[in-house]
Amino acid sequence: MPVPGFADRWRIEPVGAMRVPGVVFASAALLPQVAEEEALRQVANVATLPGIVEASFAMPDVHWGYGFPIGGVAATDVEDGGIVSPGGVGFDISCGVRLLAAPVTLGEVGAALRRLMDRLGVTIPRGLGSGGVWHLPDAGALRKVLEGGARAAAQAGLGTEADLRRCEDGGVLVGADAAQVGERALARGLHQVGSLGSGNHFLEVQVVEKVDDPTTAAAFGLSASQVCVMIHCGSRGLGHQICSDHVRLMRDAMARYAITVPDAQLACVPVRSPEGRSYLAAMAAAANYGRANRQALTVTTRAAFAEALGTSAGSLQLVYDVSHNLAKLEHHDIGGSERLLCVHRKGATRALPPGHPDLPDDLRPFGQPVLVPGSMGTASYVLTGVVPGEAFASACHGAGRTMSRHAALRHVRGAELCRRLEASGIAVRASSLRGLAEEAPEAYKDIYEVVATCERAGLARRVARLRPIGVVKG
Amino acid sequence: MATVHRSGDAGAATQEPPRGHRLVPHTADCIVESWGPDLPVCLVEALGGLVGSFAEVPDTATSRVLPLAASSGGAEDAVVTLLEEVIYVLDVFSVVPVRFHLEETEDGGLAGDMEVVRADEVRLIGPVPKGISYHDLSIGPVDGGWRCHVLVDV
Repeated sequence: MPVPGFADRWRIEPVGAMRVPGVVFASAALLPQVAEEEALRQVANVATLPGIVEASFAMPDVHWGYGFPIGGVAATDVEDGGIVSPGGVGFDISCGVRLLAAPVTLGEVGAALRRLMDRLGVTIPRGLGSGGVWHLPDAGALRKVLEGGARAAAQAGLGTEADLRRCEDGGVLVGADAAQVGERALARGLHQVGSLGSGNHFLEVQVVEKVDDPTTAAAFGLSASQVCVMIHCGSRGLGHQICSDHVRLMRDAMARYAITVPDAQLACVPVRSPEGRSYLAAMAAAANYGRANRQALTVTTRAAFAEALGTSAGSLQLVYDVSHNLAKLEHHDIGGSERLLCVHRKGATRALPPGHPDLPDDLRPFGQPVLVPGSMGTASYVLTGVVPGEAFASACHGAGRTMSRHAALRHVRGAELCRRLEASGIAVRASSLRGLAEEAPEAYKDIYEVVATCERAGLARRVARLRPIGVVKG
Repeated sequence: MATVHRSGDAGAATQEPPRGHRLVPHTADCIVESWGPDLPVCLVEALGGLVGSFAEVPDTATSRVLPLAASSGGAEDAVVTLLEEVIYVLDVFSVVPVRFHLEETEDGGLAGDMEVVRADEVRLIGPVPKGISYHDLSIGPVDGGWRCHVLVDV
């Protein structure tokens, strides 16, 4: 039922084992897509988790996941038996987006775009068994990455202090402990630092098509017609293995804490338990890996720009780097008192409002950049957080799928899609035509509607719109 | 010993063959369903389905044989363990398993091996699997055979 007095906000009343209501942010246009699939059942399942406070939230781009819906936000009260669930983070821990702003406009790039795309197509590792651009000699070097994140990359010459200032948490999530990461996860992660992977991961060259808030855009480092690069990837095999390992451990441990869950992928334990601490330390290590991964790809991107467009074009500035699959310990006001919460965002972006103390000085007056990639070939958005910071200061993370990969393949042929994108001025470098078809724009919700819903629902507001001119597809 | 045979989309057939696998739509990821007369065959088919979801394998000779095993922790854990092994060797050794052999051990576990080819010998036809989910996982005896339904994160 709609929540009176609030736009685009729907409430699922608690029934059965639900401890809190479900709250879905969706416009009338998006609601039928949300209601058709399993996502709402998953929103209700999350509402049963021990220690959950306020509500089980669903962002406007919510869709069917496993355990949690993708686009789900849930917080538990750490000092009141609140749990942490690897299913509330997802397999790809710290999957996220970073946006780089180039010192060139679309007009200045001109015909050199093809040369730039060819260079990026060759140098950005992606797809199957590709390795990464940062070659770590051994597990000891990997452990430094796990505990140092993007800062470890910068210390190795792959980045600057300016980059770190524009990373969530300064590029390093505290509390990481490489000793909590299993041998199989380490083995999977050793040779993948600096690689996109596959699926919906990508590197896009974009241009700022519309500036909605020039003052905030300028503070973020963005202006009309500027060329940008958006990178979407995560913690690769290492993060997935950590998720798998800890779900298995928690499935066995739950009984000791008298926890039952409606879905095995919601396996969880109290944050204040040995298993909970172990997961959070390993998850933080994976988060740091994800940030180092995107940092390493940034350096490769800068080199490609310099090579294709001239040395000065290589000085791309980081606008922001934010994870959209993470659980974080944060303080929030609950019923008038400040509580320490474990905030799970699975396919949802933290969206700190203006004035928040965790923002770097130069961004604090404007709020946190929220990077929202659209589907391939359509617009992406830069939003910013707004007061008061609904849903524990969270917003959407993308367009959100609406069509299965199978269905996309029935509707779209990869070669045809490639031609269509090229005809509309988007250079495509894909590792697989079938993979390209599975990520066709038709398979996703309308990004314009998702962003407009975020705005009407008071989750974030628009700063700038970007359109793609080149896609390197994982 | 159960050995994989690559099967087409058995869902399109009027009568289901005694063993096989198929891919079932999921919004963001991939679901593998398999079936067979016994647990090892059902698992071997699930493994074949997983590989078929992302790789078109050549008919060239395989380069290595790697061990494959699951302890006696139950069928659910076995399917997750075995499918994860495919993902593991893909990430760590850059190889793609193309043929699987499995049999039950005396202590109730499963043991066998998988023949692999180098990853650069296969054609990538879909998103690479990265994790195996327990969400809606089911495996067990049905109508005199075994059936498995497992969600793969891609």
